[in-house]
Amino acid sequence: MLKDGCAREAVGKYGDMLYRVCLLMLRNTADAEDAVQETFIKFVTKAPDFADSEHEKAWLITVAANKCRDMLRYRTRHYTESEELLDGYAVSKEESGILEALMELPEKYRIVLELFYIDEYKAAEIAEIVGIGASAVKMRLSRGRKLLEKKYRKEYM
Amino acid sequence: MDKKLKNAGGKITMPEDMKERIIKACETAEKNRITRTDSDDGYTEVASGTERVSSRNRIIRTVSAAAACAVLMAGIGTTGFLLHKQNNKMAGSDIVEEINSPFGDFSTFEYRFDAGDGKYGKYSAETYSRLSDFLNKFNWGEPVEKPEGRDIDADVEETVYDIKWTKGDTPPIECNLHIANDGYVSYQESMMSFETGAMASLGDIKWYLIDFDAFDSGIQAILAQDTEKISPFGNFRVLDFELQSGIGIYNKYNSSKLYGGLADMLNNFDWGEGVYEPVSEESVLDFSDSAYTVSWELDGLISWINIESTGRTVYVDLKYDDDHLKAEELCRRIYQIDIEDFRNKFSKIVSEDEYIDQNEIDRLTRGKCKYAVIQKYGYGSLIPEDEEDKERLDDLLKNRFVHMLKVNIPSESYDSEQTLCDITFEYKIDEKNSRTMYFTVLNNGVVSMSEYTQTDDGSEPSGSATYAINIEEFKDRLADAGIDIDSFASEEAEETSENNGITFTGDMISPFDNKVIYDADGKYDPVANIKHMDQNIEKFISQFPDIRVDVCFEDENMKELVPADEQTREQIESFIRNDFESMLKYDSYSSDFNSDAEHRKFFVVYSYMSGDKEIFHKGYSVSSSNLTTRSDCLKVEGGNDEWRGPYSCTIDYNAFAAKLAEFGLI
Repeated sequence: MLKDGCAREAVGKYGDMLYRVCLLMLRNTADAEDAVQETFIKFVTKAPDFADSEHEKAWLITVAANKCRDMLRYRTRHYTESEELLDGYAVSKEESGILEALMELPEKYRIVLELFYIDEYKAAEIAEIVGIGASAVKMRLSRGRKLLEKKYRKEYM
Repeated sequence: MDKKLKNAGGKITMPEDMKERIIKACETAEKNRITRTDSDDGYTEVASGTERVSSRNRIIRTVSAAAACAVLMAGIGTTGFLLHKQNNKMAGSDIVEEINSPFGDFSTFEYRFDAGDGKYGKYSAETYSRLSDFLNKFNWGEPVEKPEGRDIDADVEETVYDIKWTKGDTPPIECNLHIANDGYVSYQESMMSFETGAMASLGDIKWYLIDFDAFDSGIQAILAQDTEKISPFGNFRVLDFELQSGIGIYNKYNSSKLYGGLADMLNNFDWGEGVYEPVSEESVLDFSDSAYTVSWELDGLISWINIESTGRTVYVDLKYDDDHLKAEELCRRIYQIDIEDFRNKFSKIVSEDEYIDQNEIDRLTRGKCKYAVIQKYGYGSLIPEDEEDKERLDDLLKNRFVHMLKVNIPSESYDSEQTLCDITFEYKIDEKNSRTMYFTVLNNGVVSMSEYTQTDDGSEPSGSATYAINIEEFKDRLADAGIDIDSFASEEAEETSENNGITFTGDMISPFDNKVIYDADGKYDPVANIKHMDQNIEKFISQFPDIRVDVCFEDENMKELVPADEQTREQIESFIRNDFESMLKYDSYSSDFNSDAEHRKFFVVYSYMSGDKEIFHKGYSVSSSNLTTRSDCLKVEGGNDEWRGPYSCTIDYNAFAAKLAEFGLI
């Protein structure tokens, strides 16, 4: 767990993970940066006491995901970026296809699929983080995966 | 695909320059934390830093503005600049604008201009642009002394115009500008305290004295040009709204034609006059009778319109805290609308949505149709008696049905709803292969399709898709072919409504509210929250005089553990009713994420029964890792159950297991 006054350490430890969550949800680098920044500001200014580092990480993901949802609801100015969004990362052309397909899914499937397949959380953990029941997580995983497969095959195979 | 997703996702990393910006912003925010100190005068808010934290977008905007100034200056040149400086406005320039406003450039921030005309500042962007121009150029004069005997709260009735905006963040400063009809203008800034969450004034109120008649006539001239028809809740063409009808959700993910059509309908609908209802602690929104719900977020407020089946319509503004856990209701207005008119307009727009394209039709109908059959659960295949009707039905299914399918489906369309009928098609592709499509038509107009291909090697799934259909039109076509589909009662529906759930009436108390309790440090209080939930359940069940609570243990597969004899059953029931919950500890946040299915051993179930119906269900899952989670479910007729939880707590699993062993259950 991190101590007070640890912005650099926190960003170093969780920055990539939170940025990925936000980028995949918001599909806009500037908005993702805002969401991550606000999450860390909240972390350094008013985070609760954490039981352990898993709790800390889950808290950060929850705050970031809520912020993203907030921004998606209120999105009036910034729209999603096009294919160039994934340029600049070490993602191959072949790999970017599946991420683009993922980003085209409805938000409720995106976050669940990302936490499950990329961040390797279990369904029960995702339920805690996202604030829905474990059965809803499983349902979203199953349906989201089908949708992803369909979209990916249609567009990129 | 899973591996590919993991590999690709893992390569998304935050750029280094972004990390540095965020670290700097965090460090600044830490410096800027508000500390509360005691002084002789009582509490005083002290800001220990002055540097403000800006989001990247705001930084970019500021940089852009600065860059624009630089370009402008370079373009004007030294002579021009001096001329500008001397005359305060460059002759002949249509770029440089005079800004007299002491409150900043209104065109650079988002504000709400409430003219007290019932529109609550919901004007078009064009009108706001004109207002900004006017407010920037208006002569506000210099600050004046506070008018004697006047304070801001007492001025509400005097206020003719009210302008609000926020600036900065962590937390934002709220700016309020009141313009009274005697010409006095008050400007106040306030900020939320980190510690208490209460708004506190920043500095003194500034007062100005303006030429009110000039201001008023200028504003009225601008507002008179605002002819765009918008709803009393705002312009739905601009709002990022979501409309829910039953389980169908319509939002920006639907086609722009559908979404725009709904926005126009909401803007043009005759909502009538709204009546304010006082907001109180208890006035929690009750969505139990909700024919339609519209929600959106703007300026940090989440607004809801709940349209009940009687036409009673409740509009509320809710302000959530940063965690979205606590909500404060700020405004509530009640309308009485013509629900039939609303329903007809809504249905017309939804039914006008786009049909699937020819490619999709060709894909669905490829091969030669060997047969098509419609079935109803519990009744088997539906076959008209009349030969002509049989032909019509065959024609409808084989030739017309796929043309009735539409592309846009409600985003929540997969969850529980009732099946109207199933339609099965078999198409012969070639000599060896054929394919079968199963369409399930739901009562809400959603159609889900699964496709299987039969080859020599057997049958394998080859596709699935979801569509929508105008359900009334489909029923009409079936009726033309001699099938009155509604005359076949849905056994599923009857079974559900007979055995489970309650129907809410207007004055019934729900066991769920949105209240979240925090401790003195502002942290989620698990003990107080579970106590609150239990109190609500008590209130809820007290409405059912015949209530009884059935209890049991279930194994990990949710199979009831049956005791050997009646005496043991009584002991088990006594234990669950009286002792089990006292073994649970809620006093520490539990985050044992290893508590997945592999650790889950038992369920402890409390079924609240009214007659033969289960109306409420409380279930605990007990894991060998000591983690126990509780989930509560309000059983609502028609399968629209409401869930709360899971609430985490801990149990001494060894003691619990010993008890089960004592009962001979393990």
